[in-house]
Amino acid sequence: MKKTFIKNDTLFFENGNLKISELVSLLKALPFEVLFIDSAGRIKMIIHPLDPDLKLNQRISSHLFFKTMPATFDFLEKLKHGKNSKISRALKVKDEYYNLTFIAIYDEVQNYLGCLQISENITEIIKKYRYGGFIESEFQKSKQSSHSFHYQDSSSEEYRQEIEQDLIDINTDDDSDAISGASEL
Amino acid sequence: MKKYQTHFKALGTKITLTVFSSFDQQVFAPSKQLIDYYEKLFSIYLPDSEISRINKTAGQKMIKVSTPTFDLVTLAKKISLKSWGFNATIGPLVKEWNIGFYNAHRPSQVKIDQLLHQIDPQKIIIKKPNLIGLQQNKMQLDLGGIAKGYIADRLKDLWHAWGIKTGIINLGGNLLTIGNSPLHADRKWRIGIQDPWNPRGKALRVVRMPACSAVTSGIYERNFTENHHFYHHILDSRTGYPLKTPLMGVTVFTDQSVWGEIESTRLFFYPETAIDELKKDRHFMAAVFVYQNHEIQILK
Repeated sequence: MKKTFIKNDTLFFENGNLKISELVSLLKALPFEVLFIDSAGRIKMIIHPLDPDLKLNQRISSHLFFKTMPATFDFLEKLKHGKNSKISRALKVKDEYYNLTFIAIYDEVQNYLGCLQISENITEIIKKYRYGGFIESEFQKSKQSSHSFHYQDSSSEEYRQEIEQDLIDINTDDDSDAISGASEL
Repeated sequence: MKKYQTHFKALGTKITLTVFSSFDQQVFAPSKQLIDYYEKLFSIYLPDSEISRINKTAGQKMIKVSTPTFDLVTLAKKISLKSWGFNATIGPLVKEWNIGFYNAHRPSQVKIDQLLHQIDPQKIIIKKPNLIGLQQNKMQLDLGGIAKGYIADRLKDLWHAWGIKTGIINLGGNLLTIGNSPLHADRKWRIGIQDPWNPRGKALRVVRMPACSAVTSGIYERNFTENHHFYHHILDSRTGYPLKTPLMGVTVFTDQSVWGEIESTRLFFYPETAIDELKKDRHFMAAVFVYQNHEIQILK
């Protein structure tokens, strides 16, 4: 396999090459936040932060703060110890929904380097499901027209409810610490 | 994180106690003693238990009992009178059906009609200090629907007194988690809901919860089939037969285990009507319904 290398200001990959400036533009164009968290749990890089008010200098090079992101720590531990190589989890923060994906990054000899945390705000997607594929404002407009389409079909509503249920408490992929059942004989 | 566990049989089920420090294992012996002590008070299968003594003297005299028995019977009467499904005087029916034992059988209709006349929580006589009696001959108390919850709560008190910061009390599937979980960075417990269609220990769903009680009422563990009819152990004191239900099990998460027992039975009997009231209940945290058609409903 051809190794990745840098020559002058160009990165040479197995299947092509990119100038550093092109790579920067490409990363900036991503429609979601990307964090690189190293193996010690330090944030090394943030691209396209979801919250522009965040003081980036304070976040970069800092360890993730346990109390604010306890679940994230759980994921990082799993990735670090090889239990998972990718974890995806949706969560609700106030009225906003986010989808977080953690991807473990390894070097050529399979040493764990850290992970990428990709965070996408999916509130609009969920709202679209709620309004039959339209965002809320479009849905309200459509109701004012003379057409009488029923946009909110039941399958999308059920799907939305399933997402909402799954977001908050229920995890089907975690191991249980103990199991509650009808009184065992 | 290393677990330290002890397993033993008591209360007609399998008990597992879990702590997370070798030093905390010292609480296992007194916990077992406490469970034995309560079993000797509440069991209907031990002839000398306080409940058995009350049952033997039904219609004759009142019995002086210990404070735990007095407190639990008082609560049992109060809940039975609310008609939430649990009935403390269902003892004659439970013993006749004997579901969960080798000689379980469907009683004759005549026998059931006869036994239904012996079921009336109004006829539990409670007098301070610590006197309990049954007004009618052949009446029988059975606290099986709430006793394990009460015992789990008292075990929790014991563990607190011993300074146990974190652990799991598992009385045959009736769980009580104590403190923060040391197993996960978010300090929440992962509580599995037993899969009714798979062997014991296989979870259908896993719920992330803070310290709480998880109690399940279900028909999949204690049952029998006779003449191609399925009979389970949750008896309806209005009909004398196992409750007709679309449910397979209900798991209720509460702050106290005894309330988990009460509410899981209530939700099993009245899944539609109890939900609104339950949401306002200060003890209630969440519930998971598992239906016989494999549907799952989550209430929180």
